Amino acid sequence: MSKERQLNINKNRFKTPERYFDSISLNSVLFSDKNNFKTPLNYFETLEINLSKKKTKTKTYLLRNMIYSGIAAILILVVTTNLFLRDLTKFSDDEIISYLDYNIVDFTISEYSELFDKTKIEVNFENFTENEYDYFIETNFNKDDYIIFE
Amino acid sequence: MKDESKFIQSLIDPETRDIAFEKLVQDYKKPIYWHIRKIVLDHDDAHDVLQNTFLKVFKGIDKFKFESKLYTWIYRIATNESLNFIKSKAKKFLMSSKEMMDYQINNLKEDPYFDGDELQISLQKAINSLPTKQKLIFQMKYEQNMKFKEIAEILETSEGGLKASYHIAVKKIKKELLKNQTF
Repeated sequence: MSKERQLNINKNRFKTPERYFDSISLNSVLFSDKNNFKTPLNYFETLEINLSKKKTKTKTYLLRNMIYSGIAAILILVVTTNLFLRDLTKFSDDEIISYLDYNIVDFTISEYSELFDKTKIEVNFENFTENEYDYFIETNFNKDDYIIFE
Repeated sequence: MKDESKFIQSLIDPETRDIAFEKLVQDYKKPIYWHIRKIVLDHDDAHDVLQNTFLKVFKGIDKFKFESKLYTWIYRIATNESLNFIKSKAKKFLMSSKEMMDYQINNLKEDPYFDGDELQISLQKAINSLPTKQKLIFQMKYEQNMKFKEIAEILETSEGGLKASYHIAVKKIKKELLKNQTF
């Protein structure tokens, strides 16, 4: 007996509904009724849909979405406004010092002094030479300046 | 060949299309159905795939390239539709195709359109344990009595390779059955 025949597979183990192949035609293929879904008895007769509840749910959902979107928009505006409206032409003293520390620009002492707000500077005259002192008096002394003499 | 060419022309010609297609459906519905059924196992699934197959043939006949025979082309569509059907059904249940088929086989006992005992279910499980192509070769040769030449055209594999694959499939099924001591 061949190995095949020893397998004993019943080739007729699969069945079809009665007259199944009679129902297969071009029309059944092209216009197949795909409605295999059933509904409970009298479903459509007893169907009631509460539209008001559904509308409120939708309304609440939309309102909530709008509020979240508004908050997000305001946050974005605040952040971008801060970024863009910052006066980039005014630098803090620390920014100037750290920029100069890199020795990008070789300033003289007098040029350095021009960069800072003189009203806030406390000048130590101890190490000034006479020329420097005179120069300082000539260029900086102003009755409006508050210079602290040590 | 001449007749087939003429028949295909009648399928393409809008005036003769409907009559020609009716003939095609009547000629091929049974063999294509059983080919599909042996792959997908369930009758309702086979019915769906059969519809899809004929629809694809109907819509795609204009693109038929005459590089193969008509029945080869139809069988190829049916095979691909069956395998894709299993894949997509398995995906819905987050299973692999093999797991899906194992599940189907386990439910064969309750299937009103399955007339087999425990042994037949075990045999089905053994067939399902084969790699996809080998399974197809086995089913087409053993169950549908197709010639190796026909199977080679449909699956686009060499005849020699098919014969070897088929004999290995038979051996594996026998081994699987002996393992479960149901043979």
